Amino acid sequence: MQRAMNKLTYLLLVIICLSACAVDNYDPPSSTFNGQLVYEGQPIQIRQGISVLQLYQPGYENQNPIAVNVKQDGSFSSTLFDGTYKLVRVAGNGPWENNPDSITVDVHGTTTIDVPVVPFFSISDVSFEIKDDVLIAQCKIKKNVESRQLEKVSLFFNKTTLVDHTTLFVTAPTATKNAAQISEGAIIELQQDLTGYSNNPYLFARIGVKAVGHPEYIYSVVWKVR
Amino acid sequence: MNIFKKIIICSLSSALLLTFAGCGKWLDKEPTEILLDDQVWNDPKLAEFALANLYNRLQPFGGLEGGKLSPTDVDEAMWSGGLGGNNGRNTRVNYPYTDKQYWDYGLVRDVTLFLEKLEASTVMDEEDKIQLLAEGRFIRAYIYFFFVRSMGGVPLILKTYQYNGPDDVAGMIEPRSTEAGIYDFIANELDAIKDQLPQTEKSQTRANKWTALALKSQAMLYAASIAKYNNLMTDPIQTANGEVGIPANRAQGYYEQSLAASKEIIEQGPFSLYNQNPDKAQNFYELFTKKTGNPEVIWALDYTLDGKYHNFTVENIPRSLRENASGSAGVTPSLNIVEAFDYLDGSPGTLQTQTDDGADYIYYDHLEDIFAGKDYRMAGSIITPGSTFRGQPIIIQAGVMVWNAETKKYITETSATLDTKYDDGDYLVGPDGPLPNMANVTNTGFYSRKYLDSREGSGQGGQGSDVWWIRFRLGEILLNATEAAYELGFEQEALGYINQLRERAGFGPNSLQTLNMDMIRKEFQVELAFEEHRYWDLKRWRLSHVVFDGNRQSPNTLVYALWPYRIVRPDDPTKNNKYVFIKRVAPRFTQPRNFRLGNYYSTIPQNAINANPLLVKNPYH
Repeated sequence: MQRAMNKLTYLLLVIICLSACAVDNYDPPSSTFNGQLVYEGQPIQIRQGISVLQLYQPGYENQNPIAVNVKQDGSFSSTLFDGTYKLVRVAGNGPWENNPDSITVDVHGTTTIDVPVVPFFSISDVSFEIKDDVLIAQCKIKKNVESRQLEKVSLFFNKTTLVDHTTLFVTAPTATKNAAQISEGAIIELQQDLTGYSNNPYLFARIGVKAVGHPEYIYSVVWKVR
Repeated sequence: MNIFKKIIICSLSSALLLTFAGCGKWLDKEPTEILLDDQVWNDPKLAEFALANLYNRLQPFGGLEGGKLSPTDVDEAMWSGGLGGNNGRNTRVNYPYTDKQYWDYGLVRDVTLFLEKLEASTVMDEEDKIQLLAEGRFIRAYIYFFFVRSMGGVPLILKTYQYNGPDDVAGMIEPRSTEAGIYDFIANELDAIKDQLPQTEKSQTRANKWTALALKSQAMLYAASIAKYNNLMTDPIQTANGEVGIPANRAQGYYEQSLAASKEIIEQGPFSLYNQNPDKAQNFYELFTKKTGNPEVIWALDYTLDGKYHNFTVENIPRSLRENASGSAGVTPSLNIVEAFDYLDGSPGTLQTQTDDGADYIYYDHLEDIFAGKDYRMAGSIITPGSTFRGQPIIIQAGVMVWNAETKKYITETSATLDTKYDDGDYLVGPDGPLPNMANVTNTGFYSRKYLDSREGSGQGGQGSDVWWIRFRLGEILLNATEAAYELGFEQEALGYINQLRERAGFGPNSLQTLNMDMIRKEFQVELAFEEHRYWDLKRWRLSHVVFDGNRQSPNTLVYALWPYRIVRPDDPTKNNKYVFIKRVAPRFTQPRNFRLGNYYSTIPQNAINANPLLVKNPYH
């Protein structure tokens, strides 16, 4: 009896707590904020999971940033409350030139913006082709930031659509050309013999370009080998 | 029903209290259960109690209690214990930016209060007062060393504040000091108090002249290597006003200060390397577990079975020796660190498991034979297959390999149960594993030995171990001296220091003739393994993001294991019942370690930034 009473009391308390204050009840955020990292109008491809964008909402006492997760194709999407935000490109984490200017974003309903960055290198004319079980990948690279030196261009593989230099499986092949073997503007060709990988039913490939001294690569689109 | 009762009791007691509120005298009574300021700060014994409390709070990361998992932050070890939260250390995609975050201004306030109250005390003997004040300042310098190595420059708070309402806040907020500024503060404080502290090591657990010098040796070396190696990066990690980053031209001065402090300890100090047991492996083990008459220990965090003990042994003891219903095999050393120990003939420490052409295994008569000729510090720090602990051989065997004469191949047979026998009556899986997925069994094929208590009963939950945690020891100071001397261009002097250590480890006299930074770094890695140095050492050399680059194919991002198998091949007596070894990625370790540039300095807590707008964020956050 006493137990039942106790339970009832708690239930009542909970109900009272939940129902009393209409002031605290507001709808969850519903506006979507979409965007894309771009350079000269072209999307920038990165390693998924690096912290490159943060949103701040000025005018409040606390300045906790909202992390914006950017996918490997450079796009992002957040659900926010309507309002004015400042979008900050976190210095140093992405393979591009620091830009300390924040971007003011007015979020009302669905908002879409392009976030411009200047990557150290950009990749163009990407092509993949399989000949006799050898993957031939070609691309051109262009230096965008004068002070940066090229370290290497690599061809990465993975078993899933997420391909970057950290998600490789243990036996994944990597074909690499170092800066000395590369001339800027010319077609760079990377080859990888895939004969030993026939037991991988799925295989995806991607070209990555690394600048000296920065841990992150700039990537091409992901290509489905099979 | 109860609620009503409580309400009645509450209202009755408040009414009762109200009736007393008028009687001033009754409230002025001296309390019997707490000590008042004047009582504490006028009695050296009581002041020492306050000091003991401060000493007890100086172990934020490493150690034998909360920080005992610190080797699993680097390539020294992985977690093989329970499958709960700690297993996340084997599967984390990134080090979080809050990793090693240190913002204990509560402790700073307590130390500052200690100093202020003591300073104001009029009754205490001048001599007691000077020593206690110096100890307090030493503790404060040590805390700021924790701050600066985790966070970079932090606000330097040297007095206590009284909050009297919101108007006071503006006068209380302090900006961050520069990183160099905090290191300079540490150096100046230590210089100032060095001669006020006891000049002999009366105690190995309280500050004296030598602990102050040891801290200076370490802190100045950190400052120097940050000044040097940070500026060698393509993008040095720095903020505009130097909260993070030290100018390159400061490196030389810091190296000189570090070397001077180290030399004073080595040349004038009462310390010598522990060398009391002719069995060099056992000697190295005893260095950490023998507490009486240990000439190498400069400063330790002590434990006693009278109430202050730790469960390091409960958590890390080999499975077959465990004395508790749960626990064991928590922090298990990696093959990476085992192979970092060189052979005594000077050759690199890679274990030989296959013939040179890779066509066949190498067959060893006994489990322990594969480790023959290794640096004795390996056996002193790690329990390897076939070695003994507490007099019992530790049988680590993953299964058997049975020869199939038709296919001319081995078939691996194993079991999911520990301590099982194969058809021939000999071991299938050893009593100590390894097993791929079982909790509290080694996953790597090794167990921790350094700091593991060999006393029976120390593995029981209710009792634990009283082995102490060494904060500074002469071996470390010799390494600091080696590095500083080498960086300053005194190679011969550096060789003199490093060769002493190597001789104690079993190498011949003057085993090194030339030196480079890689050799020095290797020596730091193996001599100080599991002592919470490697994380910080890699960081100050700015190598963390190179060693832990997130690439599964890099040599040290994954934890590797060595799994022994027994051969069953009765038709070939040269191979039957011998042992072969397989190197593999430890099965429970799935994510390559990825140290991002933003991990070099931890995040300033957001609530601190919200409360103090002068705090600038660390880079990359």
